[in-house]
Amino acid sequence: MNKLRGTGPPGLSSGSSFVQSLGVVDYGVGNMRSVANALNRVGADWEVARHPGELTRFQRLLLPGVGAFGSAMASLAGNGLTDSIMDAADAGVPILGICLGMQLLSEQSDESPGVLGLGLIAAQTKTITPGMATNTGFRRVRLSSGGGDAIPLTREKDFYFNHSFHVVPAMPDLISATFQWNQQEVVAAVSSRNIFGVQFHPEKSQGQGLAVLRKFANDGVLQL
Amino acid sequence: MLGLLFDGQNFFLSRNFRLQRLGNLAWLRTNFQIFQLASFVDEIVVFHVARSADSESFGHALQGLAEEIFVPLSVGGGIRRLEDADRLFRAGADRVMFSEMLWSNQTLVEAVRDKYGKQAVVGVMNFTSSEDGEIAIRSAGRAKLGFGSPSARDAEELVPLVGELVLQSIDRDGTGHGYPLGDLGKFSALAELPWIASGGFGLPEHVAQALLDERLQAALTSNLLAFVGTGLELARLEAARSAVDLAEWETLPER
Repeated sequence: MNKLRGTGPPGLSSGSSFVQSLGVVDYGVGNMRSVANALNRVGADWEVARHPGELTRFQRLLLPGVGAFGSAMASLAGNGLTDSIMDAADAGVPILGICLGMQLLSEQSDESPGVLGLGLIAAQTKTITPGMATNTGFRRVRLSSGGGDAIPLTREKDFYFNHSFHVVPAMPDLISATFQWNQQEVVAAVSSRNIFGVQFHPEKSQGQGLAVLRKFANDGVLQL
Repeated sequence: MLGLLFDGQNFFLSRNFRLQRLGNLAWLRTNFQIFQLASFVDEIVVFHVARSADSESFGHALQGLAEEIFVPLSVGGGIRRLEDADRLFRAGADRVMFSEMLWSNQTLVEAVRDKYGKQAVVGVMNFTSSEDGEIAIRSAGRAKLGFGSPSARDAEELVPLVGELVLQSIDRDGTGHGYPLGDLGKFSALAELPWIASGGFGLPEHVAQALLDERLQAALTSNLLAFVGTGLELARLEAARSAVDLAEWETLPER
């Protein structure tokens, strides 16, 4: 089981009030260490989930991600995790995807043509334009008019993004938040019932990012 | 962006590519208050500068940093194989940086890009500028790697490889005389990439001037400015006074 848990700083005084169990899906690629550090900092009760049978033990699941869409889906499948995640979603378990993890929730990606995503959000993952560009840095995130099932932003906040692809939902009401980049509006967060995704990295977004992780670990909701 | 230089045990300042030792992570924690200063920057960059750099000890040191810093962490140095990059990402790095490998081992840079995505790869271009304005691309050891401004052909190779590019002025590095913004025009062939200016920042005004330049995405300093008193805080205040649109951060939650 979890080898990362407890590697964070000592003295997690808030831990006793955050006793909900969160599983962080480790599929071999991604920013596990950074997410682990952030969850430890906010005193979340969490464990690594690496094997299909483990996923049913958790009240919420977090799907981190740094890497390429195709290799990530192959790794999920290779570890037998794809069906377990789908089953958890069907059972109403709140699932939060971060960056690539959010893109994996979509149906497919321009990054890896022919590779199917988890399809938990009716969306396609597209190249952000211009074609060779990446969006790296803190961007000001604002509430979408759609809103989705996330708890609305109380005000605009800056979150850290680092991506070359973005999720384009089929319906506007799946979009919870957006940001402006290169004169276009880009999706920052999606939500559909118990499925949530953020294109930014909350674990790298100072206090406001850690607050997002703490809220999800504690309550299973996305509150920006 | 705050730059730290690391030799496997200690962190250093950079002065004209000569190193001045600060201390180990414990020293940084006590004397430099690294974790508090992280709240004034939007990214931390760590370069392993030892020729014998190995990713295992580097990764171990990074873990200590990453446990308490909740801004992005970019790292460079000692990445000779894909496994080295794997180790650094596992330790908490968000992006890896390549300098000489951009020219000598593009296969490695491609492998990292293909596994982690282009946005996770940063190029570093060290350059000098002669009196007649000619640019020379150099290694960190000052060996000449390229002549003149990057060409369209260079751009064809580099643009697909990296997500951002650090333009590091060797002439100004550690001088505190300001970044040579006038040299940026020499890199116009690479304008498709976001640029980060590095080298020469010695005053808060230098940072603000760079951030106001629309060609630049960020300013990276490993200079004394960052290590003395309230240098970083003042640089941020000066940028805000100059109408630079800075990200706003909430304080970290209590433990």
